[in-house]
Amino acid sequence: MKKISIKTLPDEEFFVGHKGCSGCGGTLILRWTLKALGDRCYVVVPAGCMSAISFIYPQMAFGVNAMIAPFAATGAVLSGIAATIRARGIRDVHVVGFAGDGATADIGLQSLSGALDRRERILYICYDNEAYMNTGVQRSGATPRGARTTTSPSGQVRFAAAKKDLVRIAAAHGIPYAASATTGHPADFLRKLDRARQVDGPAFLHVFAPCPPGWGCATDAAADLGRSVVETGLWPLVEWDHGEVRINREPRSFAPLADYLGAQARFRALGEEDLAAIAAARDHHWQALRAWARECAAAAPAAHPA
Amino acid sequence: MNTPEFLAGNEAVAQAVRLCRPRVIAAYPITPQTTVVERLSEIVEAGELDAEFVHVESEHSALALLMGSAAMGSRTFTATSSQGLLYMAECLYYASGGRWPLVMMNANRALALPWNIYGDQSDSLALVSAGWVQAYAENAQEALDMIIQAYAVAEDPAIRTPVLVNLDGFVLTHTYEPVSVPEQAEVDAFLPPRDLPDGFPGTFRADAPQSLAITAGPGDYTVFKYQQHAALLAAAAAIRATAERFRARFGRGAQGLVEAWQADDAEFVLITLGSIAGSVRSAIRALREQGVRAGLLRLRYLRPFPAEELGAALFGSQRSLPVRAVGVLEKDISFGHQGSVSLEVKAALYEHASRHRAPAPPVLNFVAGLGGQEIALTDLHAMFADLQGLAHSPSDDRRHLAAPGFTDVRFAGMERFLEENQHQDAA
Amino acid sequence: MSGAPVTAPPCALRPFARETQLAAWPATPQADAGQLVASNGGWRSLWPAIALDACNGCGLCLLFCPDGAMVWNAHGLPEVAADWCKGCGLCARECPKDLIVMQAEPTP
Repeated sequence: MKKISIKTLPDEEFFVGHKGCSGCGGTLILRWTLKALGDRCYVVVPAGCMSAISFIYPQMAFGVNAMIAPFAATGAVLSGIAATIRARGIRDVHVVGFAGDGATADIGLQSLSGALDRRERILYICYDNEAYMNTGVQRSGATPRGARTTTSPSGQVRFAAAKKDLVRIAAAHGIPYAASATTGHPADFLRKLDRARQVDGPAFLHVFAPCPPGWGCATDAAADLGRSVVETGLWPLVEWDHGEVRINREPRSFAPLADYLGAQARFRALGEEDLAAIAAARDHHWQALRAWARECAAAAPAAHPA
Repeated sequence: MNTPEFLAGNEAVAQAVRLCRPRVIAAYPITPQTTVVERLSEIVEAGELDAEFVHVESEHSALALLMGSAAMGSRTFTATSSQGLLYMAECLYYASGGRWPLVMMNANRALALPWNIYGDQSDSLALVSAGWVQAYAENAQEALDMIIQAYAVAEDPAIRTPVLVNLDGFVLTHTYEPVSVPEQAEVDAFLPPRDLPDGFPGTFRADAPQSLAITAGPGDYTVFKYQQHAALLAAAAAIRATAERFRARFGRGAQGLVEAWQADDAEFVLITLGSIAGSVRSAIRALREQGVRAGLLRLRYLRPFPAEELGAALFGSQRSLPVRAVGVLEKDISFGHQGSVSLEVKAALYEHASRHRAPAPPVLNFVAGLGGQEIALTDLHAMFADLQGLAHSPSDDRRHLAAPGFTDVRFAGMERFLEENQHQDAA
Repeated sequence: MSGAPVTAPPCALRPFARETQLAAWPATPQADAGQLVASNGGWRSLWPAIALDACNGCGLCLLFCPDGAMVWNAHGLPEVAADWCKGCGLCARECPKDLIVMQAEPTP
């Protein structure tokens, strides 16, 4: 198996002609994924942006076998494909889910949990644009604190929840591999994709995916925001690999929040107090993350095949 | 001929599934379906069936998972009941729209609220329009036979429509009866291979990748829905042909979508579905001894709706006497109107009457057996008495359809229940 | 199906005649993967003009295009696939030598 990297990425395209918005981060991640994994893929996308833009008869943007799943059922449909692959002993194929944050953190969490619990041989990628974008930017369980959506117009949500931590939720199932990535770090993403496709069992990637119309950012900002969200500490790059936790990037100090938040209209209404609260939540999240890494390092490594 | 085994309805279904050799089984428990997947898990663990037995986390996932497997060309099975069937409702429409040849068993059970685990037909009748073939078994033998035939119908390249086989909860699912279980070789010869052929519509292809379960704008959507509807209508002929083929090979089984019993000279016809038909036969035997010309039409399939067969049974040239009154007995109500089956029967009668410019008999709807309420023989006699009363009523103008008011819907058995309670209070 | 594989950039449009008979539609809601029948070229208001003279062919513009609309030309340099470019400007933003400028589309 040839290692996946920017250098080895083939010229072939497997995701062209889609009707995604200009500068869409989700389509960028999907394009990278399919280029890297090649044509022996079975892809499942739930109802949502990626399905709405890719399968409008008669224009079909996927160059590989792909189907739309019911919104709540990405994990289940993937499992059904994986079950047949097991039953028939089909080799050297990838079963790939590509779902947004709503389809992953909210309505599809049960189905994802079942698939992870059963140790299905699937690769599940959540492209996180931090709201229900296909329906017009409604708050999801992955919408960050302070973000304006069409169902949280002030950006203030009564319970002021932090984002659901999908990597840790996935890792809590004891699966082989879970990691976070962004549109701004293609080498890091492709390395993690390479690892994810090789582990024996479910792998989960949680990928930051800017949405220009939903976030009110420039259409050329998808990569830049990917970098600044990491530099500001709002999106830790982390991976869980068979019980070991690696924080891939430990910023000595965080870049000013404005570097990231200021480039997006959805955060425009935030005041000093809000920014302080976001910074405090970020710091707490990092403490918890480091504690998790230490805790996992202290625990005996899980028995697993390399 | 093999020796009959003593099996409950659910066990007969499990045996049928074993013989049909699905590749993938999705299992989620719900009373009174659970023993189906329990038996199947034993069968798979014992190596009697090489299938992937997948423990899913919900009914919704059960059906969604099977769509993934079917898209890979696999034969599949799952079973459910009641709340579970409604929980997967979205997926029922999805599967029929995707034209995947799934087969599912449903243990007919009441819907909450109030909670109730006993048998009625509210669950499957709520989803009668979901685009699935709907079969209703009378007994365990028919349940086994229907499952086997279901795969043949669903996988017919001209049909490609999922099939739901319904068994009355507990009354049929948990009642033991002698059941003839066919030999594996016989079923293998009867069914197509367990994997759909390469290029079968709705499946992925390794050589020419496919986009499945796609989006279509209004015009294309209408065409796809037209095709789906046409296929479900065409399933009627496929069901009859499959039943004929089944009878030729296995020597048993009704042929049509409607089974007529003592109907050709019956003036009072009770139309029903499922396991209650056995009791109706007993009532009819007794009534016939008293000189009442009573008869039964059992709807074996509710989708495709057997309007033609129903018309022929009620008005065909084989009849020696005209029908004077029709009753529809069902364990269901479409709240705010009447029983779902009654609505469908009346629609068929109206169409028949308009087409032939002929009078239609009056129809009484008997809603009974809700939440497992017993349908006693005395209740059935009372129903036929009601039909006789209706036919003899001087105010009845039989040139017209029965008025669609609520007065012709009767909650059978409710008065008996009130009386029984009175007796208990007195004692 | 005919011509170049659907996966070979620039993923050319395929001729597609709309169905006029019911029997001509697919037998289920499905279609061949990569069935590209309509250009997205009308979406853009700006066009990425590349100063190829100074381009070293690093490929970052190809990498960061969400539409697969930047392809290699015969000389190993980037070229815009007009059917798929939506004019988002990511290629211009990510070009390490700032050789791509978003400008009004050249009139043909």
